[in-house]
Amino acid sequence: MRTIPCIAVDDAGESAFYRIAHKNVVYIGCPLNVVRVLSECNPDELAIINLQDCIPPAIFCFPRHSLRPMSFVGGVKSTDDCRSLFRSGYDRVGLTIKCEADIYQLKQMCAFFGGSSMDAHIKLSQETNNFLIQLSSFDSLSEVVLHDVERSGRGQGIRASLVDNLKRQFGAKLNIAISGGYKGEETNTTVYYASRAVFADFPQNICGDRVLRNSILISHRP
Amino acid sequence: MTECKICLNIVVDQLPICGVCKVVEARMMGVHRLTKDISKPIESMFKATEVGKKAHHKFDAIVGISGGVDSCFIATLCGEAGLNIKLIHFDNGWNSSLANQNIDNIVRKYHFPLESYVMPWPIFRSLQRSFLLASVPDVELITDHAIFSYMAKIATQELAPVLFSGANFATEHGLDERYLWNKLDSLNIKDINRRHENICLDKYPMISPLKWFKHRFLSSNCRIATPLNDFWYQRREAARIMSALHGFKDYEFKHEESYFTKFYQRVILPQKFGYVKAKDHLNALIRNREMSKSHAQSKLGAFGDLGGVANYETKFVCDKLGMDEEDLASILKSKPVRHSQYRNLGIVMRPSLKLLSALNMRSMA
Repeated sequence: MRTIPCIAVDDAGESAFYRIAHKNVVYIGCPLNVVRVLSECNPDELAIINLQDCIPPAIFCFPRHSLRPMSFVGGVKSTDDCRSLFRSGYDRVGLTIKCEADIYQLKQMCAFFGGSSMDAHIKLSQETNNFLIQLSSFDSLSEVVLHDVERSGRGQGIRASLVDNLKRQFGAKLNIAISGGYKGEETNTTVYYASRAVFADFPQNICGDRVLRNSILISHRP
Repeated sequence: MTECKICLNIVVDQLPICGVCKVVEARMMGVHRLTKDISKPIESMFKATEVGKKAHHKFDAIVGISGGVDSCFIATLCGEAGLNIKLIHFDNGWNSSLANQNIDNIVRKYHFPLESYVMPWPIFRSLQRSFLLASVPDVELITDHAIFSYMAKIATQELAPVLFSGANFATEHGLDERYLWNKLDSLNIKDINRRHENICLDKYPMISPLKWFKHRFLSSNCRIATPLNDFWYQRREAARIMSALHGFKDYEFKHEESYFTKFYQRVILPQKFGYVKAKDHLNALIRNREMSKSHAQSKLGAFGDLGGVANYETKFVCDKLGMDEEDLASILKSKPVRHSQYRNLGIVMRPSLKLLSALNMRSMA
């Protein structure tokens, strides 16, 4: 299983957060320091999850201090947003898919920047299958990331069996990964992992990873 | 001008040794009379945990840990002694990955619970900017004051009879007091903030000197103890022991467990104030008989040889503090200002500190 540490950013990019069990928000301090600390632990890549509706200027300096490739998702609305993110050094940009119009916009961005630089982020719902069918018609798309947690922290959780089914169905055309809502079951897919997970909640094989051990350490607070 | 016979300091008059060596000579002799055997501090730690132990205490002791050699060594000694301790850590937003790894290794080896207080970053950043704009030398005052305050807060929770701190005389003495300010001077912090960025400090942990002295010297509920002063503590030997026990990795120079402190010691202090703090740290190791003068000289040369580090760290610090490199350059060029030019508690603090120094009761000075 491939794990990618991700950092949830809020407050105009000045604060990083983690949700314990997807409910309680824990403040974890300066996101730029978290980027540097995690990148020095040599993960495959680092993901920034922007919790705001727009792109805060503070996040543009993050890639400058990361030794690893970085991806960004959240608040991306236009081709200009995408361009400024790529220019600042992000390697991949994700677009949140909520409706058909988003898929159309993603297609435009893929045509402009190349599909291998773009991710699609989908919240698990009844429409997920429909979205995946449409996305599988894309020439190339870096990754489709499934979430089951909203900004409010609600969600039922992602079952590995469901993801494995989707992978069987779309695996030939889409690279499916999972993020918010992952419950720690064994799976052979990529997992975007909140950078300050409480390790008691998750299986040992993930916690044993040096990257996560570092991120876990700094998660403890009163 | 000649070099001091003992350390790397320069002697202006014809005396064989420098002023610092002369002042600390007696106390260092006292340190060298102590045993190097680590069973001695373990024994004194056991005794400290037994005094005042009450039924409601969940732990034998609390240990403040920064990731540096001294605090990690205290935690390691507790782990080897089998004490039931809780680690507390203050995160000011500048922890290095190596510091995290070192703390993590201890937590995993001895299964200690760890509680970390994460300082609200926008407040801390603003305070750091205010101190840099104020051109005062002791920018680390804001971190150290918050650590003292956090330690006292933990002490009031009465989780354990004693709180162990890694502060010690043997490896931390002899710093140039012109570039330091009293860590308990909350008034100085408030005034520097008021005259620059003037942010609300409600969420910044503060403590009065009286409250600190009470915990340090008088409190029977949870005392603050410095066990590294109970034996002949040697920093390099401690790092070697920890490396063998749990893979501790030492830092190039003292206090470099924080990205900011590294920048502060290597760039701000030498360039703006002409003060090479590493020299005083190395002098302390020479006086503690754990490093030869020639070795210290070569280490000091390496300290000055920054290569690309200064450039990279400057960019990182600028991005973290939300400054342009030109802003930082002009701060570095501006004239240094003394802490005493801002409101301060010097009148209250100075006599009491002199008294403590005379009684050899200050853990570091």
